[in-house]
Parts: sequence; C-alpha cells; structure tokens
Amino acid sequence: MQRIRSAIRTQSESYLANKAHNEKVFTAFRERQERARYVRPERELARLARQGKMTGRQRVEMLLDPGTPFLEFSSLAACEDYDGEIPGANVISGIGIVSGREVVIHADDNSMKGGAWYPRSTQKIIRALDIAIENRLPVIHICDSAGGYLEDMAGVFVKGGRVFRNQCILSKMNIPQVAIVCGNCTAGGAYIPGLCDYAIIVRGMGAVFLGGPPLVKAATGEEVTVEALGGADMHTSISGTVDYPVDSEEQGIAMAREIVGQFRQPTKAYHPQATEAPYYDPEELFGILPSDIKVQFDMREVIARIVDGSRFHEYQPAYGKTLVCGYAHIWGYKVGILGNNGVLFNDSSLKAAHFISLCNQNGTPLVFLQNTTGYMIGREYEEKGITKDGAKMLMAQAGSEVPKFTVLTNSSFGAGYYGMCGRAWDPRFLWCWPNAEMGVMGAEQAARTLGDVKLAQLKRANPDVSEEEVAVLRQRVKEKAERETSAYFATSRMWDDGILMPTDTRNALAIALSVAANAPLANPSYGVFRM
Amino acid sequence: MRRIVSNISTQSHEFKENQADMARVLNEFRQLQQKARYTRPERDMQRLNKQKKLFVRDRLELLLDPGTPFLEFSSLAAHYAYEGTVPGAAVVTGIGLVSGREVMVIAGDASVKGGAWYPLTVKKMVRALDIAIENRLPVIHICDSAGGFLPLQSGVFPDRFAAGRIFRNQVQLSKMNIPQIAIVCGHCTAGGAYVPALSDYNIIVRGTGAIFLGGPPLVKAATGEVVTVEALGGCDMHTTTSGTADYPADNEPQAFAIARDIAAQFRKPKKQVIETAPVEAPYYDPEELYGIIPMDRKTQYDVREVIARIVDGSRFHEYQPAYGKTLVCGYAHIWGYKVGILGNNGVLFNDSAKKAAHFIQLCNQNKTPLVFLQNITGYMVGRTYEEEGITKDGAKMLMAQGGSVVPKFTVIIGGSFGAGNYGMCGRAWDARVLFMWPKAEIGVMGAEQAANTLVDIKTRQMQKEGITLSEKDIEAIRTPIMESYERDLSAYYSTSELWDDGILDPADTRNALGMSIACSLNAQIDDQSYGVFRF
Repeated sequence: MQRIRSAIRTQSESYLANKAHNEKVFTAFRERQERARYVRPERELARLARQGKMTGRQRVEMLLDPGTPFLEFSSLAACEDYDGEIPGANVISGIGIVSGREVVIHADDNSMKGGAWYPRSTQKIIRALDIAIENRLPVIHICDSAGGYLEDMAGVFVKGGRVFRNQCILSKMNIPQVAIVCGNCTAGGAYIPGLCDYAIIVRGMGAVFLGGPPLVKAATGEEVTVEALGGADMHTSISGTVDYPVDSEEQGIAMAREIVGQFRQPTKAYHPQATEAPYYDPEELFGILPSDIKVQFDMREVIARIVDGSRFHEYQPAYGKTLVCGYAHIWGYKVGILGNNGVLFNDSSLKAAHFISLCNQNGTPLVFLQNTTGYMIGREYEEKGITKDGAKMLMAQAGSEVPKFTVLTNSSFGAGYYGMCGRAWDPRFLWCWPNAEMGVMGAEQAARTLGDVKLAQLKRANPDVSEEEVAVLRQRVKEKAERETSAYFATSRMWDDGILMPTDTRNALAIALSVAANAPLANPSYGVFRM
Repeated sequence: MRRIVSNISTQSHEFKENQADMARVLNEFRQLQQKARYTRPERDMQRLNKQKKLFVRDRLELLLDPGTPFLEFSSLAAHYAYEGTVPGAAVVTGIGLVSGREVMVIAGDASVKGGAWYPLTVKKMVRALDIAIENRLPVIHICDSAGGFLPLQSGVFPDRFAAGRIFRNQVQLSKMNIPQIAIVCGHCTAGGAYVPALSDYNIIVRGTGAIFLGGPPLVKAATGEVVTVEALGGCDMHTTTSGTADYPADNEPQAFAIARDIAAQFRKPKKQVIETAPVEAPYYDPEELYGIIPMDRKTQYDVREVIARIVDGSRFHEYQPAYGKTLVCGYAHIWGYKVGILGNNGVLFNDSAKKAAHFIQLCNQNKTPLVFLQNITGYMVGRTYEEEGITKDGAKMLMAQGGSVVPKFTVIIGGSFGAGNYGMCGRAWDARVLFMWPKAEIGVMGAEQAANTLVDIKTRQMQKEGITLSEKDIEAIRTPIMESYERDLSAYYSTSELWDDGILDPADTRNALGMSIACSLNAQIDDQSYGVFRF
C-alpha cells in the first residue's frame, strides 16, 4: 500500500497560523476536561474522606489493569446543562482492560451531589450499556449514587428504565456483568446489582434496598437501620441478593478483578495485522485544520496522520473527487475510510454507495471522517437525481453490517451529516474534535436566516426599530446559533461519545475496532436501491 | 374458560359517583382530542384551500378502506409543548387498512405551521416507524411539510432519535423487505426529500408536490441560480427526467387512488400462528368501566373487573389464584387472540413478583402474547421483604419480562409508580404499544409524597443555615411543587412527551388491543431465551 504524499509545509504561514489558533482551541478543551474530571468543591471531597470513600475516578483507576488505556466516553457530558454543576453528568463510563478482558465500566461519580442521577446521568449509563450490547462487552458497575434527582423526576424516571432493560438484554445475550456496591443502591438503583451475574458489597458502606429507611418509615412506620435493611451481611447471608461481602473498597475491586478473570475470552470477528506508526506526525494535524471552518482542507492529510505508515489505497481516485474513499490500517486493523473533500455531488454519492457495498462484502469496518456542508443543490443536480443518489448512499450506509465509526473533524451540516453516518445511523462510536460544529446549517447561515425572521417579527410589532436594537437582536441570535452548533453543546447532550483530541483519534479508533470485533459479522443485505 | 363473576353493583352510590367523575374526565379528553384533530385557525384552512390542498384528515379518508377502523397514535402529542400551538405535533400517525393490508400511516399535517417538523413531530414519526419495524407493517407516508422548524433545529436535527432516525428507519424497513409508499402532496425539502426517495414507490401531485435537497431560495443564496419550484423538483421533472419520483398524479384524489392500487400489489404477510378461539363480545358492558374506576386514584379496586370488560365473553383462566394475590395472572382471549394477562391488585410482594416471572415464562413457552394492566405503586419495602429478597425477586420478574420474545402490550389503567412501572413493562421495556387511560399517572412517586420529600430537604437545608420556616413558608414551597408534579404525573403530560402511544377511552381498550395484537403477528415469534435468573 502506497504512502500518502503530504503537501503540508510545516513552516508555511498558514500552517503556523492554524497551529497557533488550534493550540488555543485544544488547550481550552483539555482544561475543561481536566476540570470536569478532577476539580470538585472542598466540602464534597471532605465528605468522601469522612465516609472513608474513594472518588469514582480513583475506583476506576484501581480496577483497570495497570498501564493499560482507558477509552473514556463523554467526559464533558452535561457540561452545558445544570449550570455546569454536574461534571460528566455524575457518571464515569468507558472501555478499559480488566484482568486482560475488554470491559465497559459504569462508575457513579460520587464526588458531586452524592452521585445523584440526573437525566443526563441515566442517558450516559444507557449509552454505555448500548455500547456494551452492540460490542458484546462485559460490564462492571461501580454503584454509589444518592438515587434519582427528585427535582427532575420527569426527566429521569420513564426513560431511566432503559438502564435495567439493557441489563436484562445483556444477560440474555450471555454477556456477564459485575456490580461493586460501594454506596447506596436505592429503589430502581437496587436492580443494578439485582440484575448482575455477580455482585459485591462493601461492608458498612454499601447497601441495596427498594426503599431506604426513611421511605420504609413513611410507608409502614417501621424503624430499621441501613445495615439491617440492606447492608452487606444481610444481603450476602440472608437474602442472597448480593454474592460477595468485602471489608473495603480495595477488596471489592480486587474481588471484581478476580471474577472478571473467570470470564470466557471472546472470539473475534476479525484480527489485526502487524502495525506501523503513521509516517507523518499526528501533531501536524494542529497546523492542518484551518482556523476558519469554511476553508477546505485535503482529508488525505488527516488520513495520513491517523493510519498505519500513512499508507492508503485510494479507490476511484479520479471519480467523485469530493469524497475520498479507500483502504488503510489502524493499529493493524483493516478499515475502509470515507472522508469529505467538499460538497457531495451525484458522483461522490454513487462512489460512497459502491465503496460501502465493497466493504460490506469483504468484511471491512468503515470509518467516516466528516467535514461536510451537505449535498449539492440546484437544477442540474436535481435533474440528475441528487436526491435518489443521496438515497443510494443512505441505503448502503444504513444497511451496512460491518461496524461503523464516525469522527466529526470540522463541519457536519445538513443531510451530509446523515449520509456520513451521523448519530442516528448507529455508528458504534461517534466522536467530535474540539473545533467541530454540527447543525442543519452553519452558525452564520442559521443566524442570518433566523435573524431575518425575528427582525421581520420585530418590525411588524414596532416599525421604528433602532439600529441598536437590530444589532442586539442579531448578536443574540448569532450567539445562540454558535453555542448550539458547537462540539461542547453536542457532547453535553451526548450526541457523540465524547470530544477527542485529533492526536488521540488513532488510538481511540483502534480500541473501538478491537472491541467491535467481539460481535459477529452478518452477511451483507440491503434494502431496495433507487436506481 | 369460566366467566368472571363481577361484584359490581351498577346501582350503587359509589358506582354512580365514579361514573359521573369519569364522564367529566372523558368529556374533557374528547374535547381536547377533537380540538387537536380538527380545530385550526381560519387563515391556515384558507391557505390550504387556496393551495388546493386537502386537510390531512380528509386525505386519510381517501386513503383508508371505507368503514374500517384507524388506530391513531398519540393524538395529543405536544399537548403541553410549544404553548399548545402544535396540535398532535403536526403529524398524524396510526394503523389502518388500505386495500385490505394493515399499514402504518404517517401524514404530515400542513394545517399546523405548514407541517413544520418540531422536535416532538420527529419523535412521533420515529416512533411510528419503530412500530412499523417491530410489527413488520408497510408504511404510507403522506408528505407535506415546511421542513424542520429552524429555531428548534438542535432538537430536530442531530440526536440519535432525531430526524436522521426517520431515514435510518426507512432504510431498515427496506432492508427487512417491508414496502413503503410516499405520496408527495407538498414540499419535501432537504432531509425531507429522502422520505419519498427512500420509499419503494412514490407518487407526486402535479402543481403542489415538490422534492429537492435545497429549495429555490437556498439555491439562489448558494449559487445565484434562479429557478422555479416546478423546474427544480416538481412532478414532471422528477417523474420524467430524474426518476426520483415514480407516479405523477393530477390531483390528490388521484394520488391516493394510485397509492391504494400500489398497496394492493403488496404480498400479504404470513402471520405468526397463535392460539385463537371464536370471538365473543365481553359479557359485561365495557362502559361499566366508567363506574368501576375509582374517583380517587389511590382507592384500590379489583383488576378482574377490568379484565371482565376487555376480554372475550368476560372469560378468564386465572393462574395461581391463591398465590401472590396482589398480581392477577391468567389466560383470556381478545377478539379471539389468546393472551396472557398480568394485572395489579396491590403492591408487588416477593410472591407476586415470582408469580409474574413464572407466568411470563409460560406465555413465552406457549407463544402467548402478554398484556400488562398497570395499576401499581411499586414493590413492597421493609426489612422482612428485603430479607426475603424482594430485590432479587423483582429482578426475576424483570429478567423474564425484559427477556420475553412474545409481543407485549401495556395499558396504564391507574398509577404507574416506581419500579412497578419497570416490572410491568413500562415504556423502556419495548411494549409493542403502550396506552394510558385518562386518569392514569406515571412517576417515581405520587405528587404528595414527592412534594413532602422535597419540602423536607429544603427545610433541612434552611435549618442548617439557621432559618426556621413557618407553616406559611412551607406551604408556599409545597404548593408550586405539588402543582408542577401533578402536571408531570398526568396522562396528558406523558402523552405530550410521547411516553405512551396515546390516551384511550377505557371502553376502547378492547378494540385497540385487538388491532395491536393482530398487527404484532406480522412478526414471527422467536424461540424463548433468557438471561440469568438470580435464584
């Protein structure tokens, strides 16, 4: 496979200007992530110390095999909700290695509001379990939550049932789960250990009950201690609801590691070949990504900094050139890559549909690198059938049996976001780069269109609007549009599985490719292509 | 199968009181539903008239087989959203008969904001397509939408179950060999263009229908090209030049006639065979339910009285009649279809949870669909029950229910609180359809209890800061909480948010279930399999 020949000059003015711009963007991301992961109010940490508890993050670190990577999901979930007060939506989730097995970890983050479940918390847990189902990954739950956040009950309760539904489906699929009960599991939360194959409970710290002591008192008048009602000894010696009593969190985590050591190793659907580092330095992405979202860049330059040896077999290099398609390897895993190099035309859509069919035929996972403003519009293209050609691309993409992975590298607007395997299209994982933007249209265009509408309304109500009022209105609309198209807004709502540093993309994709191989590949089959 | 012996006296004071109260509630419900279906601002109806477009309800009349029932979903979707200005979320969905085939109909309602897609519009469309996928129902799309509602684009566009899911679901249907027809009566712009393009057959009405990825204004803004709607994506262009649309039609009635003719070409599905019996009307009048459902939701009543007014001949084979008596389980027939019914008669105890888990397995083994009648405050709490393992017994019930391969149907007839909502196949547990009665309520706990708990927390917080609250202060905190909780618990809120597939008049339950069961049999039932039961 030939090496991509990079046309980037790392001393050029534009490279250096991009680099300076992007370093600011990426540093801001890292700082935000660091804060969400580690910075907590003193009183919360003092409370944990008093209770003799580790933080959720310390527990995760202790659980993982030393020196192995942890692919964290949605570290900035809820970063733009709840006034930013619930870092990571009070849940830590990700894929790690425990006793040599790839597992999904769901750990309640007890260091804020007692680990209460907000609507975004249950959404994050459900997504982690969906990932476990799709990739057949065992799950380890580290339970320590004050329970559903009562003031937003309507947002938590009805949808939250999916946590437990997913647990049942995992069990039905013969995918094991372990729970380590390090705090209270109350009401619905009690079903997390209840539905696990193996459950461990920390003496004096963990408790499992459908109703805690205050609720019991309110309901029946009975006064009972936490320990007697649902503590470690009661559940492991009398009710049999929990399996293993332990004296400390450390012991609980060690026990979990031993249990995972009993799991059967999965049979993989595909295997990697020998790996090679990219020939071009991934850090050069900083100078390649333009500081202005509207400036086009060659997606091959990105591919060259993600794939093994920067080697790429390009398919149909002369046809439908606004979409780059081809084969490469990532940490030894063969992939088919589709990357945007401009607006999608009829020919680029046909090329996509064809290449996706090839990858399904030869069992090659698909990687979508999005930088799209959508499909081409106008009379000529409609007459040629841009809609039906776009539909062919959708039919092939969504009908795919091979695992799909999507990275939003820059812009993701309009139907292009759909065609290139956006969130609704079930990529196994979808990540944004910190600079990425997504929406029906770009922020500028949305602000203009909406601004015009609002201005017309304003003028109907008050014909003598001042210049100043117009400016204020325009500014407000623009700020809203910018906020709602940003990667942070997206990741807060978990439209993605997290924001990734461009330089981490190669490793994240490799972990994703490895775990996706746990699920068997079905034979290709499609719906009807509109020819 | 023996007839249930009803203990209801239709002459009792209590019955009459309940009946009067239900009459009031149903009257309100019917008025709201009627309004959501038919009441539109004059100017919107005039606009349709000027455009020579039919009102969405008239389109349905043209499409459906005359004299056949239409099971409409979520007629009050978006009831509490968008200040109530988007009735039914601007889309009509439901199951009806077209040329003798059961089909899902998804019809944009152009009389509401030009049929713009709001976040709940999309949710309702995606849900309808999910129902089509789960029950292998052909879909007929009636397209007439102004496109995504731009100010709320972040709620319409990007998320997993947002607009992209409409098209993803269309692809899944095609992959599953389930046909779709689109009738393009208005504009299909941007993403919306994919609705006809991803359909197997599509029809476009000359002069009103148009399909394009970008309409004339966008084209002008992007490239400066000035082009008419007709030339860019009208009927003749697409049916003669691009091949994006299949059948041109001169007017809407013709378009619907073509659609009916296309549907008549569909292969009839091979239905899953389950046990059936000759149909018999319920022995007890379903309208008696109005007097049976208590005025106060918290008053317990015998769910057998409900079963007797839903099932064929009011006949019911009760399973384990003496064990776990707070859950009634047994076999019956609805419109001839054999079903296994689980209905709550109180809090779920250890024995009732185990009974549920056992009975659900039996139904899976003998391929009997499950009907859940929810009126549940949750599972029992307290030391005795925890020691007996109420959590693991509840988990057995979840494992059996969540692992079921037979179709499940849920009707929330009273309260649906706490883990009881989950155990009795609440929304997250993939019931094929889930309906609510108008007085039903859903929540973690009742409004009063929730308000008390929250007031308790606030009082303690204030006390920590050295402030003692007077009775009046406490009331001032409690009242708004109570009000907002009561709203959030109500069936209207649930249905507004599409946590259900619609509110049902209790007397319609039998028919709604009958249609739902009939449709569910388009999908074959797998062999049973479960996860690990915690014994």
